[in-house]
Amino acid sequence: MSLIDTYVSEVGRRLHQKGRADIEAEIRSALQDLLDERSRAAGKPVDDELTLAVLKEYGDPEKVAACYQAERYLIGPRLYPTFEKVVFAVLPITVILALVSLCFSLSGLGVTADQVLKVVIATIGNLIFSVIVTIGSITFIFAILERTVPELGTKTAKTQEWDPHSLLRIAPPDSLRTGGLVAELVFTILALLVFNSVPFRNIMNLGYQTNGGWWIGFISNNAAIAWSQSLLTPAFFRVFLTLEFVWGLNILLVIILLSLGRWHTWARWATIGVKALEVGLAIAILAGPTFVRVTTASLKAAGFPDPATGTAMVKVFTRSFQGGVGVAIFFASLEIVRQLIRLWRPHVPARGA
Amino acid sequence: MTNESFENVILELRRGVIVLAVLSQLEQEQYGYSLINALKAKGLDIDQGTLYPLLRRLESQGLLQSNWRVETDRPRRYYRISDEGTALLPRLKAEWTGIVSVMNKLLK
Repeated sequence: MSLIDTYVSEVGRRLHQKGRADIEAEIRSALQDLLDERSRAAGKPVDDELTLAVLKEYGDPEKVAACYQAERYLIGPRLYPTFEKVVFAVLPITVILALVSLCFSLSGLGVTADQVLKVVIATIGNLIFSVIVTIGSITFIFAILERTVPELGTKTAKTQEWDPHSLLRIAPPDSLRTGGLVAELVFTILALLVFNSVPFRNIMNLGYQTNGGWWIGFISNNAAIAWSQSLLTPAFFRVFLTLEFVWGLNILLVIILLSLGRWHTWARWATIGVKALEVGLAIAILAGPTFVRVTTASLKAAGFPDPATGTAMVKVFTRSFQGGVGVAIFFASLEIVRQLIRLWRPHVPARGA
Repeated sequence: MTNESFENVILELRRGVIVLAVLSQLEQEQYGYSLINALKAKGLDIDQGTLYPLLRRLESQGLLQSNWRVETDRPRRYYRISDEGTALLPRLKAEWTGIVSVMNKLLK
């Protein structure tokens, strides 16, 4: 095989099969023309040295092959924005479903610490797997669309001409996101109802069941529970009482906002104040003596069998509780930042109504 | 501006021009290498890696037509402007004249 043949074959193997033979023939013909000219100019017959010089001039086979290929994408720029929207719409649903599944799994009475740990680990594993599978499936579908319906993006671009009226749908900076506020109102009222529907000190308890086995639950007046103890300290309940008062303020603020129908500067400052109080109290809960100290030794001293399981369950509970408070701090802080940005740049319109 | 950025800008500038240059030279049939030499003789240097893919693209757009012929001892692919390309060429020339005129005013 000559150097030219090898070169042409190196280019060809990087090309799509369709049209490959034709391109290879054309490159071979072009190289031979170039070689003839160089040979005439040098006044010597074609040899390896001359051929290598011509091939160097023609270029790296990889680059030559790339010149014949259109830019290739797994998901091209026309479909990518839609792909991104779909991923960001579906992923939260996947996470919520995983959390709901976790709640259902944990809601059963009589689960031991081992079982709780297993359920949590399995849920995290399933969540990671679901996220990967979800993103992979969406990517796969879009990659197929990219290849099978190549005109899809072009058609969309042609038929969906930009309409300047869409500017009217961009919300003015002071308009309310009613849906979000209503959801906040409902959840805050629900939280107050739930937390006050049981004796205040029975919010979260560690219990020992009559048929043996540890239990952590929301309400302690369960017939199957032989013994129970609040896991939360009096210090926590004092802070929590203040937090409930702040939630009440928040409910009042949301109702006023909904009746006014738009944001006002004072309302933004009031929201910042309420959220800052929430963050402060949540930090106090995290930092303060929130949890009753339950150790294997203390449970053993109280005469319970299998104290290690009880302690492990308490550990899982406290970690989950702290995680939940951390999430609440994050979202309240986010709202503070959002309101501060609005106060700082009041004229930048927001997306959505 | 780095040398690489400058080269990229020049490439961008030449990209559109090359299409018109190639179409203008293919009223008479030519094979790739002869076209390169014809353009070079008139002052436009174009490398093979750019020309051959461009010829194929213009052919797939229906602006050129080609056929393989064996001359001397070697097969060569000859290109020629198609009827569609011929109809388009005067409009492209007029557009080019307009661009040159505007650019001359802008760059004065």
